[in-house]
Order: sequence, then structure tokens, then C-alpha cells
Amino acid sequence: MPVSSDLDALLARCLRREPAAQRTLYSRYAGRMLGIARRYAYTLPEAEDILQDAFVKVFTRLGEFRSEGSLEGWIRRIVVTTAINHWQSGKLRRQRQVELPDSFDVSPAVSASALDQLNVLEVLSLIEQLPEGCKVVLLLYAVDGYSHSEISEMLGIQESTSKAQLSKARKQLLLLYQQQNNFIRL
Amino acid sequence: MTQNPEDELLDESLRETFSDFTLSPSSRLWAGVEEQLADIPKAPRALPYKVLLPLVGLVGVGVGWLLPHPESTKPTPKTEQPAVSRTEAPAAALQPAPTTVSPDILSAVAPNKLEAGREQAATTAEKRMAARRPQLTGVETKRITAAQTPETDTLVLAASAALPLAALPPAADTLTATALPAPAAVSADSQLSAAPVQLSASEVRENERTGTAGTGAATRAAAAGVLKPGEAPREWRTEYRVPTHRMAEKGRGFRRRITHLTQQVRHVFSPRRSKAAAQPDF
Repeated sequence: MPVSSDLDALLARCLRREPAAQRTLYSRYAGRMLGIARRYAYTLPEAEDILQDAFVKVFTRLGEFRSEGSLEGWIRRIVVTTAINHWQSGKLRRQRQVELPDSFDVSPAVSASALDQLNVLEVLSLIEQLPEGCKVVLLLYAVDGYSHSEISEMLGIQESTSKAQLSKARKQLLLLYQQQNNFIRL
Repeated sequence: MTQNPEDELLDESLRETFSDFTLSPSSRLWAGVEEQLADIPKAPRALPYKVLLPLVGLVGVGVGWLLPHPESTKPTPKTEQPAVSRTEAPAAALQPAPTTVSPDILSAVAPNKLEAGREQAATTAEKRMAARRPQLTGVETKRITAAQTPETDTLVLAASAALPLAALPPAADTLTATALPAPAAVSADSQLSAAPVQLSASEVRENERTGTAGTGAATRAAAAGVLKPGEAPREWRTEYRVPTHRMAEKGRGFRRRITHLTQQVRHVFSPRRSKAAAQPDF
């Protein structure tokens, strides 16, 4: 998708390190990118740290951007990569995970579309209860659209490990949803 | 890999849930980004190739122009030119000069004229040489003598053979005064004094044809009349080229350029070059 002319001009000004243009670009994408960073982080300040580092990378490497793809997709990739780096370097605060049995059965009554009834923050709170590896693989694959080979390259794991983590994450998510509903019902 | 429809449905549900997920960043976030951007040094500007390449080309052409050219090492006629130009007129006026003279006339006229002219030239040039070049060494004297004597003899011989004696006064004087200083250095034991007497017209023609030693420019001009007015005679003095071709030319790097530069400096300032390029001062 070709970049529009106004965005092209904005990029040219950003390449000249004009603060006003950088501020404009930041304002245009910061909200959406903070949402992405928040998915991988456990708190909002952590997500803001990720976003800050990501935008510094965006402005310093803007010359490497080719207009063949969308700028938003390029920035999104940078944010995700920065979040993974934060997670791998241990900057993200580990939350206490819910203890789940190794072998668990999800009730057939809980369907995949059950999550549609939840809002974003509720889904996010469910995802944050997943084991870290499962959470990251689930977000990368299901939400951000990375393939297993890309995930294995990013995380430094085998593709089969990525697939196993994804499968486990799906089941645990539904189980968490079931437990939450049962608790509410009780 | 085929996926479970339930799994695809779950992924789709998650994607839709987070598709519109936006958060408003705090104001300190941009301040942090700005601060980090200010700390990063600006990328160095790319080289202005559009300016640099023509500049390099100009510098290269300039340096190439300043270097010594091959033409500059060629000898240039200097001292002989006035004498030749003075003698050109009578030589040109008498076209069949050496070829029409018989060997009998040569043998009858040349020795007397040659001896008289030589003695006069010797005394004149001896005075001039003593006054102008007192520091001339013995080796240089011999070299000049060996180089100049045949020409002088031939000049006198050609002129005397081609002209009646009465028709020669200006040219003969000129030759004696300008082109004959070298015999002043001829020593008594030199064997060159007998050479001109035995030089016949056929030998003159042969020398002219082959261009061998002893055939000076003035002689050729007078004998054959090939020089036109304003044309410089061919240089007879041997030029020894500085043997730069013997130097190794290996590599393409800095070392080769340094070698080339030192060769050029040596070529310009070497005493051999000044000796070889300098023309005799008489």
C-alpha cells in the first residue's frame, strides 16, 4: 500500500529530525501502539516504557523504512519486538500465575466464542494469568498474526515448542474463563 | 496444517477484541522520547558525491598537467639555431652545393680554408671560453671537443666547397664566430684535426643520408638545403632518458604512488637531468 502524500511529507520532515513532525507522527500512532505494548506488559507504566523505547527506535531507524508496506505495520513490528526484548531481558514484572492442573478438561459448554462476551480488559486479565511463554505465543500468533517460524525465530525456540505453547494457551484460557464464570455463578 | 475450527474461532475472537484497543499515553512519555532522541548524535551527513567527484576529477587533471610531459624531455634547439638561420640563405641559394663539387676541388680548397678558419676560431673561442667558463673541467672539455669538432669541420668544408670564396664573407664569419668555439678545446694530440681534410662530398652525402655522428644540423642545412626558413634543425646531442622504466611497478596502492612521486622528484631535480637538458652555453 503506497504511503499517502501527506504522510510522505511527514516522514521526510521526520528524517530531517524536525521535532514538530516527530511529535505529529508520535501522536498519530502512540495510542494504538500503547495498546499493543500493554498486551505484552503487565502494567501500564511497563507498557509506556516499551512504547518509549519503541518510538526512539522508530525515529532513529526511519531511514530504513521502505514505502512498500504500511508505516503502521512497520511501527507495530518495532513495538512488538521491543516488548519481546523487554520480556526476555526481565524488565517486565512477573505476575503470580494461577496454578492450573497439568491435565484439565474444558467443559463442552464453554465455546470459543464465549470470549466475545467479555470486554478488552477482562480478556486481558485472563491472558495475564497464563504462563509467560504461553501468553507471548498466544498473543504473537493469534492477535499479531506471526507464524510459528517467526515466533520460533523471535523467541529462540523450536517451532514445535511454539505450537505446543499455543495449544496449551488456548486450553488454559478457556479453562480460566470457565473457572471465572463458575466463580461468578457461585 | 489444518487448524481446529474452535481454535480459529478463538483466535478470531481475540483479534477482534484487541483490534480497537487503544490507550492514551501520558504526557511524560513524549518527553522521555524527546530526551532520548536529543541524546542520540545526528547521523553523519552523506558524502556530497555530486560535488566530490568533479572535484577529484579536476584535481587529477591538474596534477596530471603539472607532471612532466614526455614532450618536455625532448631536446629543443637552442644555440645552433641562429647560426643555421644565418647560413641558410647562401645554402639555399646554392642548391646543388655538395653534390656538384668534385673531390678535386674539395681537396684543393678545403685544407687551406679549413686551417685558416680553424686557427682563427681557436683563438677566438679560447678567449671566450677562458672568460666565460673558467671552471670547465678537463672531462667536459674533451666531451665538447669530441661532439663539436666534426660539425665545425663539416660546416667549413661544406661552405667552402659549395661557394666561391668571394661569395662567402658573411656566412663564413658567422660560422667562425658562432659555431666554431669547440675547436678551441681541441688539444694537440687530438686526431680529429685530420678528419675534415679527408671528408669527401660522397661522405657528406652518406652522412647526410644515414644521419650518423658528425652531421650537424647546420651542415645538413647547408649541404642539402632541406631546412626551410624558420625551421629548427634536428638536435644532434644525445639525450639520455632517466631510466624510470626500470623501477618496479608492483601493486596499486599507496606504495606505488609514493614510488611514482619520488621518481618524478628525482627526475626533476637530479643533476643528471640538468646536465643532459642543458645546452652548451657557447
